[in-house]
Amino acid sequence: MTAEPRVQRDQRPLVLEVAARQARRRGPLAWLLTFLSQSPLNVLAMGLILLFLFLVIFGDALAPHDPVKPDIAFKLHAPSTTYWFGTDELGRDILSRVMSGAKYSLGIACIILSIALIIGVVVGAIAGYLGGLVDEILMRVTDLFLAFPALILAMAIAATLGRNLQNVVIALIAVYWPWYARLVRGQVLSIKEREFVEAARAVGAGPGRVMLRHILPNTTAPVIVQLTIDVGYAVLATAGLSFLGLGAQPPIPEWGTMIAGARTFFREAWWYITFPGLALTLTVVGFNLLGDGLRDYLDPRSRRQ
Amino acid sequence: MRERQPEQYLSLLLQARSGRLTRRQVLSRALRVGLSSPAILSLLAACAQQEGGGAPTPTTAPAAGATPAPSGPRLSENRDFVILFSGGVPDLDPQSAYDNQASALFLACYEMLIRLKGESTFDYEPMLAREWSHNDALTEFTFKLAPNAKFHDGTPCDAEAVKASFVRFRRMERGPYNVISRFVDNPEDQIEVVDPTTFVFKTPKPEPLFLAAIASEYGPLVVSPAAMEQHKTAEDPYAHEWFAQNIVGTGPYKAVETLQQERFVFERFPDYHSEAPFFDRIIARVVVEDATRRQLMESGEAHGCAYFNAEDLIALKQNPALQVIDYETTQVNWIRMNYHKLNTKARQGFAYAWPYQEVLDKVLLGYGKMINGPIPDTVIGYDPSIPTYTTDLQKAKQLLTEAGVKDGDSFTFMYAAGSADTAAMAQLFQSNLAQIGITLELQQVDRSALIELNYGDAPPEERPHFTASGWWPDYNDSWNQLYPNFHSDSVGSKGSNSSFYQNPEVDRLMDQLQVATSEDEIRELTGKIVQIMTWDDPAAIFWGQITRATVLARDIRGFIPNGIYIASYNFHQMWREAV
Amino acid sequence: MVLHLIARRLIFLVFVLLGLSLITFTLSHIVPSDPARMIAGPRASPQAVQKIREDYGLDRPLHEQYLRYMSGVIRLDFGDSLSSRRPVNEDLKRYLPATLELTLYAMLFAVVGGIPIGVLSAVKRNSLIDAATRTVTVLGLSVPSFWLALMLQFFLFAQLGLLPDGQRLPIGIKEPPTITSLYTVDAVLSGQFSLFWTALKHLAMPAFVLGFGSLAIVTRMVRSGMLEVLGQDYIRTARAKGLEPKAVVLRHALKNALLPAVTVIGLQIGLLLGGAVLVEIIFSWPGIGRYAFQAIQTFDYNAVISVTLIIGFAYVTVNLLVDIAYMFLDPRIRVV
Repeated sequence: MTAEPRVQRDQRPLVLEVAARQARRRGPLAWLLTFLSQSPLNVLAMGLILLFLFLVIFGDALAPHDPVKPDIAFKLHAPSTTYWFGTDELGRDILSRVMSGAKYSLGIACIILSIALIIGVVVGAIAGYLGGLVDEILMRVTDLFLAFPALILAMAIAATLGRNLQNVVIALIAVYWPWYARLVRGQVLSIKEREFVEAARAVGAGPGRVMLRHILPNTTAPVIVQLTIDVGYAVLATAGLSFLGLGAQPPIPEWGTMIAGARTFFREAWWYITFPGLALTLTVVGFNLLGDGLRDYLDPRSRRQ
Repeated sequence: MRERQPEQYLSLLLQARSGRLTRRQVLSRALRVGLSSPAILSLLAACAQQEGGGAPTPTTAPAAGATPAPSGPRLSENRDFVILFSGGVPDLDPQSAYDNQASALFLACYEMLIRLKGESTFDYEPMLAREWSHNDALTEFTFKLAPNAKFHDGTPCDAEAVKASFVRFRRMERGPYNVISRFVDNPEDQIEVVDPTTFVFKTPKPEPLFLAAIASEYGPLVVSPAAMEQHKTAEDPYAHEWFAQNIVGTGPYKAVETLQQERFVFERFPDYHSEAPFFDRIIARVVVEDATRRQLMESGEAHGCAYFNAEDLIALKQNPALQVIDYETTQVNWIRMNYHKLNTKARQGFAYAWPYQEVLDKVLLGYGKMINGPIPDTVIGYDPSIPTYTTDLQKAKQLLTEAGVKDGDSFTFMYAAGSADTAAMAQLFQSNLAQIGITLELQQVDRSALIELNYGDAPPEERPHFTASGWWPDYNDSWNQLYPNFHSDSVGSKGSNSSFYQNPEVDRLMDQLQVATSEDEIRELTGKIVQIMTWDDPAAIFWGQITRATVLARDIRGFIPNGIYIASYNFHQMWREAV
Repeated sequence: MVLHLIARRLIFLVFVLLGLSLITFTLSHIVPSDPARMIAGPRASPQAVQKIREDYGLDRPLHEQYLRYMSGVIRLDFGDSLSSRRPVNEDLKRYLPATLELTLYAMLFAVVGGIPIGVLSAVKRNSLIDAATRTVTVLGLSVPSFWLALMLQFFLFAQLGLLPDGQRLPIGIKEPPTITSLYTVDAVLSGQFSLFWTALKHLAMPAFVLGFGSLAIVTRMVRSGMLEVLGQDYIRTARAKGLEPKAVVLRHALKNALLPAVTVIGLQIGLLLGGAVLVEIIFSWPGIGRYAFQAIQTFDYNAVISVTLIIGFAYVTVNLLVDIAYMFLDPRIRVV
């Protein structure tokens, strides 16, 4: 698992924020079309993401066969017209399992990040706004969690609390929330001294209102870029932990768990290990490309070149 | 070594001609010196004809399984033999471990007094003992040791040492101790040392099975009492913890490296009392992944493995670089059911939910057949009239409901990693139960962790509901198959009864079986026990009698599978042909 | 000024280490089962478990237990491993060099591969090379490392037999004499060049897989750093003045572009230490990542908690060192 650098260069978030404000004024649909027209990679990214998000919601319903029930007479069949991606060692259709597994591999990642985001925003906003001792303490706690290597922490949690997806979720939330806390705090710090915030306060708006209506909306841009990249990493982390046997347990068709089961049969059944791996790769590619595209789009400096 | 060869050859030639050395001794010394094959062959030709006895040597007769070479097979230069295990080996104490991977290692570095000859389950050949005899009444068994037997720590292995080792075996009361306790309750008195190389076992009543038991690879192996004295503590008077990590025996190989989760390396023990085997080194590597074991065998990096799933075996049979040796065994596999956590009706219900045919036909692909209880069909006491279970989910549901099991209830099924077949059948069972509203939580754990749990003293409340397991008798006897697994005295570290099955009627019948005097009595008692344990008060889900297979590199010769020494290697007879 | 910041960071380091130990202590006590049973292992009798409970003071109040735990940690005493029955720190000393060597080569691969590719890609922007580079880097960040490892192992070992399946050396081959504990270095230092080559072949696949993600990041960082610098005015001025484009690139642009790369490299070292688990398991690499995983599989809780703590320590320390180095490299950047 890797991560983009977290060095805070003072200028970048500000630039992104300005661009985002401009973008927002034009309305979301216009924004989307401009974004898509920037580069064919952006189109590819949106396409992939929409496909997999679609599977998260409708995968189970649209799967041609039962993704969970074994039918061992058909074990390890090669891809055919009945089983487009072939079958596994228990005769289950791999296409159906890949489709049904999207909600575990990708859906779980989205849940993890949503919660991490909320926690991070709350902590970061409070720290940034109140400043002083509260800020100091909260930031130290944040740095503590940031300091911990993710996979090891997740393994330790799974080892002590038990191997299932719930504990993976807990572990990964603990890993991801600090990034957002830091990001939001930095944003809040730089925005809160600005004129329009002072103006709002002078008019008599309470801190909550100031936060919600004036400060936080201006922090969205870097957060969104961060989110798109993190979804990819969260998917890989969940799959990695499940591959090790610490996350999703059989018969859940999580893509990492499937790859673990496919290992034994690689020689006879190339399809078993290939398709879940492709699904994982394409999902993460989609989110990475989206993150790249967003960064390029919102950062006018790169556009100049 | 090269430079001195002519002199050594000459000296061996003279000794061979004069008949001072047996063919075996000539061969072993010639191998040790590193003479070339033609030289060795000419030396052997010079030997006066000697009576053989003991291990067949490469040039006298090709061992079973090898095709006779036209003019005497050539010996390979490669003297390493690498075998593969499917999981870690947590306990290396031969008088405590009941683990077939451990016993495969023990045959290299520890010794019983006698061992089974070839494929036979009732013919013996010497191991630590050179000669043995018994009186007509079968109450006194005399053994004569090799005069120069030494332990790996240099201390002599004399009759006193062997007696001390058997006392430890009996008194420590761990694992396979029933192998000795059935016959010898009081080893201090019942073992009599006659002279430094002779001792006698005295039994109060006739024991026709005694020799068979003494040849078992589980338990009656001789450990160094000096090492025990050196490492014992107040809490551990038999130094079990130390022996669990260290090996000090009399075998032809001594342990050089024992990393329980990784590998075991054995090298030739120079002071071995008998003729040296072919291989210089035996290396056992722990490889948990099925696919990797297969890759290593196919690439030639590993030379032997007894742990493959059925799909792999079928594929490996097509590989010209490997030989796959199937052999019928007395191994029965079952799913233990936790006696304390599941009541009788529940256990009956679960027995109806197991996917018997699917497992045997589709998962094991014929490497197993249906069985009606814990007794394999080649052991005296097997009763073909007792019916087998079939998969009947309606009946299962009905019984489970009567047992008080509700929809949505969850149960745990624990099995060892390293076997794709077991993983598949666990999921099939899970799916069957899901169809009748029961949740089965699968716990795949490392093999050594499962062994530790099974043979440890954790109470039954802390154990899972189901454990995948299997067994074969230490010697061809139904009591021996049943006692360590299902008698209430065998719970915890005292045996293999890890599901805490405790049925007083079965105990009573088993105690009678232990002292049964006629074959009819054995059959009758065994039949009654099996009826109770399979139907009336199920102890486990008995789902198959297994055919095993060992895969070897093409150039390995001399391997003889034995239905009792399952998954083991007869290292002392195996060799590698130069191709 | 810099000293002040370093002092601050060191104080922070102590705080983080305390916090880490608190986290691991908490983890080892919120197990669903009895912590004494966890330490004693599944084999132990109830009496043995009770003895462990008393020996470790597990029936004392929590703060007392924590102090006792910390006193062990400070003395680098992490208790005994259940499966090896040795002190955990002995196990760690045994397995750490393997992970270090692997991480080193992964980093080398990432840097030696990433910098030139990144430079080339920036200089030849929007060409085919650039497009190929960007594709590969996206894949490098997206492909699951364990999947890549299995694929490579299948093709390069099982099918083609070009590289070994795993481990540091083939079975039965003796390691080089221990000087640095890094087999490749020790082999060279003791003149055993064929051994060096063998050890290198064993490193090839695992280091590649482990470093692939970092390669992608380094490439991107170098590329974007180069692009920024190349677009700046003083470079255009230099070009306008007629200076050799190559000299321009090498002297000015590269120096500035390297700074972000250095940060990334530093961060990657820490991440690699923790993230080597998957690679080590698939390639049977005897490092601390695999040790940690095996500890989990064998319910060896002492080892799990201790390894978590150690890796956390290492990660934090390395990050601190990198941050300090970075502070010296570019005074403008003050990483808080």
